[in-house]
Formats: sequence, C-alpha cells, structure tokens
Amino acid sequence: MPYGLAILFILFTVFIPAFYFWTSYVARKYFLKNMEVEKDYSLEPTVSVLMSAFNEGEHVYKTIKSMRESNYPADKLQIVTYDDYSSDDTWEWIQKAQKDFPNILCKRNAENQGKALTFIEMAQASSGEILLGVDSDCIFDPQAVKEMVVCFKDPKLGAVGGRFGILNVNENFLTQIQAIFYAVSFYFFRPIENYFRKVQCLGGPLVCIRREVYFKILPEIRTRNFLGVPLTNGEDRAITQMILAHGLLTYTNLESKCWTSAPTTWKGYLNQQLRWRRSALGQWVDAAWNARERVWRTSFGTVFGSLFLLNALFIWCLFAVFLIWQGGFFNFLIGFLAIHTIAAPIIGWIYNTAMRKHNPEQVLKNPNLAPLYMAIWFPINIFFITAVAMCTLDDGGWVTRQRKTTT
Amino acid sequence: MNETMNTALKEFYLTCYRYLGLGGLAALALLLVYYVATFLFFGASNTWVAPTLITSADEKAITSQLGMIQLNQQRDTIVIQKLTAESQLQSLRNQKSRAETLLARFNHASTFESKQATNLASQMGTLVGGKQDRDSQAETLNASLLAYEGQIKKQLDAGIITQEDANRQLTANKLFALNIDSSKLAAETIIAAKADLENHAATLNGKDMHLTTLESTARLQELETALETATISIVTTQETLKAETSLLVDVDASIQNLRNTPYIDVLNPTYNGKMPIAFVPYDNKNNVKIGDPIYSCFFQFFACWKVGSVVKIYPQEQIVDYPVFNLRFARQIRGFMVQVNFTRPSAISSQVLFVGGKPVLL
Repeated sequence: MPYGLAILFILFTVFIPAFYFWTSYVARKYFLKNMEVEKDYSLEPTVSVLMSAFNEGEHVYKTIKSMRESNYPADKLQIVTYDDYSSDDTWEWIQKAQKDFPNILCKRNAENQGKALTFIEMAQASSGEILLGVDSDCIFDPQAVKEMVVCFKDPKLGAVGGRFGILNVNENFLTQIQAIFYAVSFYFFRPIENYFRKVQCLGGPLVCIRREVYFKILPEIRTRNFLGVPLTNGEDRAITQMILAHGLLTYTNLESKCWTSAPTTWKGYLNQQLRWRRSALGQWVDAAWNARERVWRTSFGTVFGSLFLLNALFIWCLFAVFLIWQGGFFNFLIGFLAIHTIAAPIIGWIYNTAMRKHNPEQVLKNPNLAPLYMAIWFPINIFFITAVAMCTLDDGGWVTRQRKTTT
Repeated sequence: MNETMNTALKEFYLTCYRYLGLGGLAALALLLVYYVATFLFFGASNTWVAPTLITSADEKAITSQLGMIQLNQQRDTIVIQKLTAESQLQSLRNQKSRAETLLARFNHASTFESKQATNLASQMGTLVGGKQDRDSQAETLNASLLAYEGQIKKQLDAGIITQEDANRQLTANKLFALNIDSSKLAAETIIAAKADLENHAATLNGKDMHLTTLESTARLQELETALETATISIVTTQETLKAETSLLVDVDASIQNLRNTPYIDVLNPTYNGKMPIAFVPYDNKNNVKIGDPIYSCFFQFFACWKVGSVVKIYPQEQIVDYPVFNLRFARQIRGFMVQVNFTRPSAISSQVLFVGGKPVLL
C-alpha cells in the first residue's frame, strides 16, 4: 500500500506538472512541430451549424445569438435549429431568433426523437460544406467557427473539435472540479491525441465534420446498436470513432472555444458520466470486436488509440476489486483523501496559474478545496460508474432528454 | 431466413447480456452492502477471534523449541555458576573467619608478650642492680683476699701454717676470684637479655628496634592482607551470586513465558503435532474467558453455530496481520492467543469466529 500511495503522490507532484510542460506552449513551439495542424486562414467554406434544442428555454436564443455574433461571414454560416419537441418555450425562442438573425433554418419535431436522429435530419436539411454540431446550451467564442474551418487544409482531416470551458464554473464545488477535469482533458490528453491526429472523442458541444464524411458514415450512424438495441447517446464519440475507422484523421483545435453548462448536482453529474462511460466502453467493445478488420483497413495505431486509453478504466476497476477483496479499499481511500488534501492546493494553484494566462474566465474561486472533490469522485468513478456502465450498455437512451410523446 | 436467424441470435445475446448485466448489478449492490456491513460490523464487534492451526513444524514452534533448549542450557550454566559462587563464598568466609581468629590471637599474644617483656625487663633491671651491688662487695672482698695471700705466704714462710693449709686457702681465694668473674659475666648476660626484652616490647609497641619481632609483625601484615583479600572476594562473590540469582529468575521467567505459548504446547505429544488456536485482539480481551463457547457463522456473522470452546489463554502478546476488514489505517493488530477445543474441526478454516455468543443472535 505505501508503494501505491507513493506512486500516486509522484504522479500528482511530478508527472502532472511535467506533463503540463510537455503540452505547454514552449514545448509545442520548439520541440513538437507536428503538434498542431497547418492552418489556412484563407479557407472560408460554407458552414451549417446544426443545433438540436430540447427544453433550453431562453438559452437557445443566447446560443444562436452567440453563434451569429461569430466573425465568420454570415452568408456562409447557416444555422439549422430543430426543437426536439420541448415542453417549455424553447420553440418560441427559436422563432424569435429566426426573426432577429439572418440565415436561420428552424423546425419543431412532431415528437421527441432524440438528438442523434434530429441531427441526421438537420444535416440532410442543411447545405454547408462543413457541418458544425453544437449543443444548445453553449456560448461560442467569435473566433470559434473560423478557427475550426481553417484546420481543414489537410484533406485527410475528417473532423475537427473545439475546446470547451464551463459557463457556470464557480457555481459550486462540483462545477469547479469539472472545470479542472475539462482542463486536464484538453491540456493533458488532447495534445497527445492531436500529435497523432487521432483524437478519440470530439465533444458534442463543438465539432466540425466535412459534409461528405458525415454522409459517408451516415448509414453506420443510423444503424448504431448494441445487440440490436438502437443507440442514440454518445454519438459524438461514436461518430469520431467511425471517422477514424474510415482511415481519416481527427483533431482538436484548442484555439476554437466555447462554453457549456456543467451539471450542478451530483445526480445530474452521475447521469452524464454514466452516459459518457457507456459510450467509452461501447467504443472499446466496438474497437476490440472489429480490431482485425480495422487494422487492415486503417492502421494499427488507430485501433491501438481506440483501445489504449480505455484500458486504464479496466485496470482501475480491477484494482478496486482487488482492494475490496484484499480488504484495503477503505485504507486506500483514506490514503487517497490524504494525498488529495496535500495535493489539492498544488493542483488548484497549477490550474489557476494556467487559466489566468489562457482562460481567465475559468479561474476557480476555491482552488484549494475544489480538487478535494476528486478524492470523493474517484472511487465512484473508478469502480461504480464503470461497473454500472458495463452492465447497462444496452441502455442507449439519452436519459436526460427523453420524455413521453404526447399526441 | 438468415435475417430471422440473426435477429433471433441477437435477441438471445441481448437477453443473456441483460441477465448478466442484472446479475452483475445485483452482485455489485450486494458487494457494496456486504462490504459496508462487514466494515461496520467489525468496527463495532468485540467478540471476534481469528482461528488458525499451528503445527510442530511451524517456524515459530521450531524457533520456540530451540529457544527453550537454549534457555534451559543457559539455566543449567547459571545454576552451576551459582553453586560454584556459593561454595567459593563459603570457603572465603571460612578463610576470613580463620584469619580473623588468628589475627585476634596474634594481637592478644603480642599485647601479652609486650607486657610480659616490659615486666621481665623491669624485674631484670632490679636483679641486675642487686647483683651489681653484690659483685661490687665481692670485688672488695676479693681485693682483701689478694691482700691476704701475702700474709698466707708470710705465715707459710714463717711456718705458722702448713703448706697444705696455705694451698687450701690460696685455692679458695682463686675460686672466689673465679666466681666473681662468672658473676660479672652473668650480670652482663642479664643486662643483654633485659635490653633484648625492652627492644622486643618497644617493637611490639610500634618502634623498629627488634628484627625478630619485626619479622613476626610482617607475618601479621600478611595475615591482615589475606583477611582484606578474603573480605573483598566475599563482597565480589556475593555480587556475582546476586547477579546469577537475578539472571536465574529472569531465565526462569523466560522459560515460563515460553511454556505459556502455544508454540511449546504444540510439541506436547497429546496434540499429535497440531493444535488449534485463535488470535484475540486486545479490544476483545475482556470477552474471552476459559470455557467460553466459540461460534462459527455463514456469511461472516450470520447463521452461527457452536463449534468449540476456549481451553487455555496464552497471555503473551502476538502481533499479526489484520485478519478482517478494519476501519483503522493499520496493517497489523496486537493481541494474544487462546487454545480452542473444536467440536467441529472444520471451523478452523473460518476467517473469523466469535466468543461467548452469536454475534447477531442468529
């Protein structure tokens, strides 16, 4: 046990700062020339923003307004917004946006049919060369669209993602810790994936796909299922994986930014994480199942990328089972909490220092305490979320969106 | 047909997966409940003990046996050393006693002799004085006799006396003169003897005047030295004896302690080289008495039945790895062992047993 604690301590105090340096501006500029794609700022293809809204209320108007205030030419930026049969006044706000802003195509679904199907319909109704999928609860940086499309100089690049921060970052400790998780994801893991152009999941809030690529994989999207049960959640990861499986590249442009609302309650956060974990496990199962065929079709690296990071989940899960079996799980948690108590201010300081430089709006009010939430979240995450997700892979619904269809 | 088969197969797989998933979730929930319940139970329980079986081939049993042999050897050595020290002490005490007696006698004799010599010298002084007076008178008489020899010769020549009478008188004179010389010589001898006695007495009183007496005093010093040496040796031997006695007590205590461990008891032929015991943590100490029943349970602490009883308590501290989940950040636990008489020998394989009663009355 002391060795395990020592390893975790070293991880938190040495490797993470070292990793931060690795992905820092200096490292990218002077040592890793291939870290960023070659951008062509003369590129200005037509872009269709696809946004499925469900019970967003006034926020959908703010999202459309934010997108409309983008510095991308308005005539080349079509906004397609479908109301997925909301029970509130979302549709009224969409209609108001259509009146207030140009080049907006909107529709209300006759029944709630889920984000994935709505997205397909919006894509079919759109006309842009680039399809830009966004979430209806986001606010966008004016440069976001431009920064994404300039990456498409490379014809092998099938899709580009953006970086998202949290709108309600300081609402409570849970949102603050999510801000750290997002930062860890974008600053630590994405650069490595970017280096190989094999980003494993281009997040739903901000993702650009070439039109032809999307329609190439559309049959696969339509038939997504787990043992015959249609899947409608986790489509962002699924679409990214399909693009990779076709031998195309994926990339996240960290200069393209948007801000999304993070869950503010543990229940909401658990639901979101469970959905994401199912999606991640689905990716692993799919990649493992089709590994041989996919290696021949694409490359070993593509399959390895799909499998590698998720192996950590299984290792942690097995480690948790081992600890429970051996009787040291609580001791481990106490040790973990102790390490976090020491490491929390360090993590908070590193995070806030980085954010003050790059994203001042993401600076935490409680950097010393918020990381302590990681210690509470960790056992739930490593064992229960993964285990529950593993047992409920056939639950393909969007648990936070579905409601009974009224006739 | 293929489509139908595929659909049916998928449905079958899905059903299997759902059952597995349901089973997995149920197992997960049960595991969680079990884990938390076990944790809470053992956090509150003060009757659990951890059974184990020790054999004569156990490392600790062998070590204890070797330890016992070494301690017994050490004990024998100490006993011999103690007996030797006791004999030495007795011998030294005898030596000391003899030396003390002799020294006392020597001192007594010395005092007596000193007084006697002084008195004798004094008496001899008086005697010498009287004798010198008489010798002086004899000298005077002798001078008269020498004067009388002339008259004898004149009387002889005159024929007043016969030759025979003259010879007789002259011989008597010469004998008298010889007696005077002898007497003088005797007086000188007495004076020398007196001086010798005075010197002897003075040396006995601390002055250096009589060699023979000094030699006797030197022997006295030797005797005193021997006495001091014997006294010191007695003290040293007494300390040694004390240390040996203390060591013997310690060794006896160690032997007793070792005898009170299961690792020595297991060597008793009664147990055929195997003896069931149970570890009792100190927290549960007050709940364990000789004769208490022992219970074994299904599911850690549910569905229990009696499997034996406590027959002996080994009070020596034992430190073992925690045998059950614990709420403390500890890998090891302190406690002691008890010997258990199992009516159901299979209970030895249980992870924990309970003393005194069923832990949750089931």
